[in-house]
Amino acid sequence: MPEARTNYLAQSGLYKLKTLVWKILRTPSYLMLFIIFLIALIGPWFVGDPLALSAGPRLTGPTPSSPFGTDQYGMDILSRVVNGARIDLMAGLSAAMLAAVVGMPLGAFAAYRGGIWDQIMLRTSESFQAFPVLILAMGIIAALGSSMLNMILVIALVNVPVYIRLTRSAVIPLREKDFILAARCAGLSDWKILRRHVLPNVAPVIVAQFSVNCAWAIQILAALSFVGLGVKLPTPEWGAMVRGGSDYILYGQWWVSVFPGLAILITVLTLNQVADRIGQIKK
Amino acid sequence: MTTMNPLIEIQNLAASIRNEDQTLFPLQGVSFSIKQNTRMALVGESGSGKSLTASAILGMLPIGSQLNRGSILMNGRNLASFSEKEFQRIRGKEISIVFQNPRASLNPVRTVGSQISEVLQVHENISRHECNQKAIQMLESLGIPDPTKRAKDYPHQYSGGMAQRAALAMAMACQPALLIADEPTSGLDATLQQQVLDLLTKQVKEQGSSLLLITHDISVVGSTCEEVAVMYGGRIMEVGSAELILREPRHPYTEKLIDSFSRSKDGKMTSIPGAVKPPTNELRGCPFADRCHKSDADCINHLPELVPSEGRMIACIKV
Repeated sequence: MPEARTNYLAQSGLYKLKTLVWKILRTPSYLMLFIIFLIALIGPWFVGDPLALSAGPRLTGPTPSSPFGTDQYGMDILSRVVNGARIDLMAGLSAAMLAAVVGMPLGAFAAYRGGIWDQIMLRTSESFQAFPVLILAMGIIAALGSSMLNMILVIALVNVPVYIRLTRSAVIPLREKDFILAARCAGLSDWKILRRHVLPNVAPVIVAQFSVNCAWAIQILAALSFVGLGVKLPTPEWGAMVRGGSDYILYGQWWVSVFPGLAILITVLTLNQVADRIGQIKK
Repeated sequence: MTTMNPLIEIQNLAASIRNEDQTLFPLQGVSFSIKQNTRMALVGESGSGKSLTASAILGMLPIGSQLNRGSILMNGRNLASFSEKEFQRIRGKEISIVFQNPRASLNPVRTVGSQISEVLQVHENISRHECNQKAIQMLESLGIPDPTKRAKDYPHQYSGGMAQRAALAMAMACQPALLIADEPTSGLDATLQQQVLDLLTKQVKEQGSSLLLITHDISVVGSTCEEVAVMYGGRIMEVGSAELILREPRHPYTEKLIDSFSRSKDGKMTSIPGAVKPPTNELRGCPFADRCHKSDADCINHLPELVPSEGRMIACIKV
């Protein structure tokens, strides 16, 4: 049976892995994201200690021994940018993940139940979104104190309304679908219907939003650090590094700020591109 | 007909729907019973309350509506007083429903097999693997070729006829005592209509279930059902053996309904004058009085009860 054999191959794990790898290599934005993650994951093993003050003389420009130069404390900027990838991506991912995990069920619940629950959920999200994201985050951080955990919590909190509203708007048209009605008629509880029938149908929208959200989270983290509310030097965080170097740009020592700045730019651009790609798959 | 015990007995069921500016009374004392192992048709025009009756049996009344009176008895339990939790236990297990559009009743992002298996997982105390096996058996018994492979397919890979079978497999997975088919043939061409009805009849017979066929098309009743209930304005007009009622309708409404589905000798189509009025208040007289050629002042002021007459039950004071 040759037909059965092809079918078996088509469903085997190895085949799926091969297609996935090929897809990543073929798509520039996926490839870029993969490289960034690789750097964050294993990069720190290949560069020096990001906190070593004696890595080289202070404020030297890019040289073969330290390709990105050194900062005002003599710390190696390449090492700090690479280590920063770990911190920024970790914070961005966990904040976006937390926001999704909290916001998705709330949005789905609001849309599915409707009525008073829907109103409460919508008005609460609106009152959060009435403030500019950065101002809100700054206010809460100023009150709570700026630890890494607080930063992640606050960034997640300001992103929760996005997920509530997005999931809600994706679920509302589904609510009237016959297969939801059929699932109710089959005796499934509301919770099972949400989990097994509603959420799988909204997953593509959410995944695309997740990627954009990671980018936002990294931006907010960097911005908070830049204004001095977030992570403080000498922690190798990109926003803090840009701020640290900002005093020296005017004197021509551009490399202290520019390299971490480029890292933020490339990461955020890549995540947005990935979101675009995922959005296109859905169509 | 093996037993004459009623499976479901609906007594004097009344429901109202409240929306922004008015209250409607779509069911105004519906009474009929569905016997075990029997195929019964519920026939009526749009707005006669037949789908709402089915919703009430399943406990799935639309938002804003409620039952005011009456009972739905099944094995000594009154479904009219059931909570949502209690309904969840019997939906899909004791009472199932299939809808008009089978493809729309399957979730497009999940495999057909997983959706049939899910119903079994919810209601039967057996392992997931056994549920999957049973789902495949269900597909096989409904004539899906290569069921093991097709169970892993998504609904869009099924043809219309196969989707119909899959939806039926989902409804019949737990061998429910009653299958409700809500307008299963509307929008299908004549050859497909008969196929779908035959499939329903065969499944219901094999599993020893009863069927409640909801339709506006009285012409499909004769070939499918043993009993028929004719509904108008939220009340039952005439109920009894399908063969008898189709051959000799006694209620003026049933007569008109049958006439309007058959051409008279001169080739003209007959219709019932007037239209169904929205049920804005509770009935005082016969709901059909204003469209009936036999009606008089008595009909308008006197609500007719269902009484036995000539081998059937009939609600008309003129018969």
